[in-house]
Amino acid sequence: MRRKRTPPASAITDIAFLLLLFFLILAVTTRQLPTDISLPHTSSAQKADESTPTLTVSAQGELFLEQEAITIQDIPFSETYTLIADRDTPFTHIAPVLSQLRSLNVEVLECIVEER
Amino acid sequence: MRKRKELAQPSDIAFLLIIFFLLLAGVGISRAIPIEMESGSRGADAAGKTLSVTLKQNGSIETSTGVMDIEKLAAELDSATRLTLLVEGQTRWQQVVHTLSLLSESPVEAVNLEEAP
Repeated sequence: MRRKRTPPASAITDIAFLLLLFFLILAVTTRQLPTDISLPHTSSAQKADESTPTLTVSAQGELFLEQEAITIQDIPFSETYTLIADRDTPFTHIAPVLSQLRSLNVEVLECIVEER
Repeated sequence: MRKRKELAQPSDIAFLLIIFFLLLAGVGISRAIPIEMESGSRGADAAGKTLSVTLKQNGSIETSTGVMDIEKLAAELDSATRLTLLVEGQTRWQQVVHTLSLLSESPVEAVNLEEAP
């Protein structure tokens, strides 16, 4: 009868570190959202600037700046903003945000989409 | 003596290849449609003609001449046009983004988004 051979300890640590590396890369490169969002999809889009502040509007109209819930009046000035909105959000929830950004003289708004 | 089977080598290479192709495919790279905000005087000072159209809830476009598809409107726009897109309140963001995406491929100079009265 053949004896079952245990794999060397170094092989197991190799796999463990590679798995760790894999999940670390995945966690670092994935955008963290404050609420459950289904992104709208389009056929064409550009690469988004990751360094600009992000506003998130949920399907129910809740507004977040990065991870924190805020009101429209609390949006601070920035030349550029990134907007993440759920694909089912009615425009009536987004229009006041755009209006506030316009009054703050925001120049560019990048709307995050899922490219297909 | 039989050669010992190495477990580490093939799995190491497999995982490294997975990570390499994940990075190559641009995992985590977000895609966006930029909108130039016409705030304050910038929009008012702009030269060229401004066209106002209404995006209906069903995705059709209402112009002063009637209702048309967004594809037809995008084909008619020229580079000197500044477009004001009046969006009906209950229109889903998916519809707005789809329209913006098509307009970004047309030569229109700028698109301004507003809620339809």
